[in-house]
Amino acid sequence: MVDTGEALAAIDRLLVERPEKVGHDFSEATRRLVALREHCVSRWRETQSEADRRNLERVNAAISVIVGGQFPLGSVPWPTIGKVRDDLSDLVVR
Amino acid sequence: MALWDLANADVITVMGSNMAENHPVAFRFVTQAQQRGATVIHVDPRFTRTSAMANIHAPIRSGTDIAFLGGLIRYILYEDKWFKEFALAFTNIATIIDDSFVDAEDGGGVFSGFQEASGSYLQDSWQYKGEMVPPAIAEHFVHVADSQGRDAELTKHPPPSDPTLQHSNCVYQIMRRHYARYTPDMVERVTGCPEAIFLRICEAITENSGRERTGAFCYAVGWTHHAFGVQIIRAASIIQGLLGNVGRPGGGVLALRGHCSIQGSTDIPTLYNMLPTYLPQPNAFSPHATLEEFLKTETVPTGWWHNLPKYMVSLLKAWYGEHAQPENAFCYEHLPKLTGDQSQLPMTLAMVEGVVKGQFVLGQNPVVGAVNSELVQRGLARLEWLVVRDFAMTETANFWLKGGIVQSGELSPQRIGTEVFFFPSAMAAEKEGTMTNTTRLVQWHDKVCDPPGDSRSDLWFLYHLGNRLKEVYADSHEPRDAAIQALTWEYPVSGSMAEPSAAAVLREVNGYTVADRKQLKSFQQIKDDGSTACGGWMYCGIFPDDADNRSRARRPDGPGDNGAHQGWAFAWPDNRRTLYNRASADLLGQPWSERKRLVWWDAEREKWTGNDTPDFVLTKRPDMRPDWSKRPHGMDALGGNDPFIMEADGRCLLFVPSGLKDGPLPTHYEPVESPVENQLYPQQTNPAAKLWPRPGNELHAPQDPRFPYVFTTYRLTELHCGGISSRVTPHTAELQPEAFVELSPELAAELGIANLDWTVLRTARGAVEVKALVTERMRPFMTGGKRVHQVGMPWVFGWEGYAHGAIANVLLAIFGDPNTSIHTTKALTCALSKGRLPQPEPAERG
Repeated sequence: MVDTGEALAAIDRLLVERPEKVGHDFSEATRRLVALREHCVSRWRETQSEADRRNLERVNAAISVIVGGQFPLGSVPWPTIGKVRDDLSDLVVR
Repeated sequence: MALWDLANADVITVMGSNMAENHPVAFRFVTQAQQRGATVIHVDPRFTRTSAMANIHAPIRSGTDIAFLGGLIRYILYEDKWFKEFALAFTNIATIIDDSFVDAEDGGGVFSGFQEASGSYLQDSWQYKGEMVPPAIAEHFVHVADSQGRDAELTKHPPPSDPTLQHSNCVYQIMRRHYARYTPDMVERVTGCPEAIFLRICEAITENSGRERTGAFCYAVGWTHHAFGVQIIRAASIIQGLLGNVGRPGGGVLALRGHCSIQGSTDIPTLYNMLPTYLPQPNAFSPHATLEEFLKTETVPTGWWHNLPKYMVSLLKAWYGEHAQPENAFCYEHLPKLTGDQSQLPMTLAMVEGVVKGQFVLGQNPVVGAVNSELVQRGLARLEWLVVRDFAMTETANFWLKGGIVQSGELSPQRIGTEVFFFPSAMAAEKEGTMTNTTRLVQWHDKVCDPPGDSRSDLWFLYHLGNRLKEVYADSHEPRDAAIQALTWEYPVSGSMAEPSAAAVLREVNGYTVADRKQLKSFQQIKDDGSTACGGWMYCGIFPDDADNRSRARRPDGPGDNGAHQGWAFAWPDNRRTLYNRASADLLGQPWSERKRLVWWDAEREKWTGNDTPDFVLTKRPDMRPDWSKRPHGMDALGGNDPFIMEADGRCLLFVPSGLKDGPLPTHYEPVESPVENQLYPQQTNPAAKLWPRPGNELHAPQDPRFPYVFTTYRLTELHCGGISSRVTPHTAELQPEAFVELSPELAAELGIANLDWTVLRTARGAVEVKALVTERMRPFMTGGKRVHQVGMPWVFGWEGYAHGAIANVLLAIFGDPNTSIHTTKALTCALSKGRLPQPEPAERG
């Protein structure tokens, strides 16, 4: 089982600190999610199970939003980032 | 304006371009104008071959263009040199701006609406008093706090204005205050251009503008490649609007595109944020969730862009064919929605962080051409796969073997996991298709011979890749794969290699009726009900019949013709050669002068006519005025005296109420990296610039003593673009055999550098070694009370081919213009010293 806590903690820090101008503040969250995705990819390739595939999709969606916050067009989409965090909270990756 | 129309100009200002060397074909029209008596001006930090051909050369420090052009605007306003009848009738000079607007003069260099936390502007206070004005750029969404229904005011009455120009918040008065301090003396202090030369240019430009005379500006990436590049171009637009140099023979602002079909790849875009022919890409965080919401948000109530629903629905029909039906919103949900800035610069940074797993590189060599080359290589090294298509080995394809990060020992081929697929590609003469040049001229070229070996055209590659993707996803039940399943992808192929027909693609771009597949004759036929399909509305008319490919037309005008060359290829839209050409006639519809006639109102025939296709509603009388009692929309809301039909108010925008991310008026900021402080404002640099400092992409603080010299990059005549095509060709490679840095004799003396000595150029991003070219073409500038040296280096070298040399872009940083996200290559800072780089010890490698 993989601990998704590091990725969630990184997103939590973003939501608390709400950095706007400097995208580098998002880097840790991005890197944590990328690492989680790598694991999800490996896992899905190994099992081909529907559950693992859905996990991968959820992490991919989260990366889209976080990278969008890292390089925003206009304002950082904080409400959507909050939703991403909620969506990942029950993610269980073995 | 058409390239050849430059020959009709009375004054031509080349700025931000070394046109004679990098656009020699276009420059012949500059020479023709000069032979007819025109004054040619070159404003540039270096004395180049363009300077040598010019009547006046004005040296300016890189990145100070807005100070120079702002000074010219001030001269025009304060010396009362503007073309009053033109500007009062056709620009928004008399329009009254919202009471809440605060100019940068009163904000320390920052306009009202700036959000410090996000570094971006809300544009409420820039609007016309009492009404919100959507922009004409691809994204019509206005960034204001509350946009609900505010643009509806545009259909109720004309914009508020004061034709006496006395109102303190009319555009004229705002501009006078904004540019009051851009005096000739200030221009000299900021730019380093001697006041006398600046004033000579002011006189030359204004004396050659008006009813009888016109002038043009020509620019290239010397204007665009800055963190305020869009605003430099805007400054030229203001000058041309004030002087009446828009829509008229010999007048305009000519963008000299850097590649043969860069214009085409903007029209039918490879850009991430636009759909073909300047339709907005839906955004996940804008009101774009459904087609209905998208059209409601993006359709401008007045002006030509009111037609957007027709173009959008017809595009969806072209892409998704019979799958696109009214009941499924024409498959709108298949379009990807933007979540952020996905242009090249941020995606490079995302690559470094492992977000991106694969990349296609076609027609590009980013290891040489993209800024911060070694960071680019670190990004490529994190990919799982990389596809490069080119006709010779490029630095991007073999970065893993010969790249700087490998040579320095930072990485080794064994530690780079990227799987590189290098595909040989056909050259231009080995395939058919179109090229769209800088003046929107779409020209067909035939295939001359087969490409050698396994080389294939890009069209062949993309077509067959598309087919394979459709096969892969044919049986999928995933919603996200439905877009690929629904995509129309039926193009006839021919020959043993199954080459798809480029003409068939162009027919689809032109558009057709869905029911009987008849080619559309003109964009006026495009519908929003699903009965027409069109891949790019601005190109409609290029293929009006199955056998009539207008881009193949090759009938030039003769001596007795009008010079518009309308029988030569096709200029979008509707084969119009000069945009907004209704402005070539006065309020009564008659030419401002016989010498500068282009289109005019034929009262007898009740229509516009002339030497070009009128860029206007053909039957709209010049004295027609909107009937505001009927709440007019679209073109009905523009009068016969409103030539700028793509704008919501039909006027040339001297003051831009929305659309720009960094202010309604061009304002001088120092480059992000600069050796001097801003002489005009406490705000040092563009507050809205996109900055992404991080390890490996550190930025130099203003006046950083470690990096005292201004650094600029440029191309060479002898080596094309990124250089590969000419570096692998012996007879062009030997003309420029190796990289070099140009520096002035004064700086060379200070540093003890002689011509051909080895030198090291260094920034926080990296270091390169090149030989010195000590030349008087470079000169120091007195600016901000001190002497500033500038050095320059061609960016066209790499390690492949016969002509080797250091990659200049190793030295550059990744940051962007807020409007375009384009990088800065023209004005950064660096250190320079005599000597060579230390060679890495063999033990460091591995």
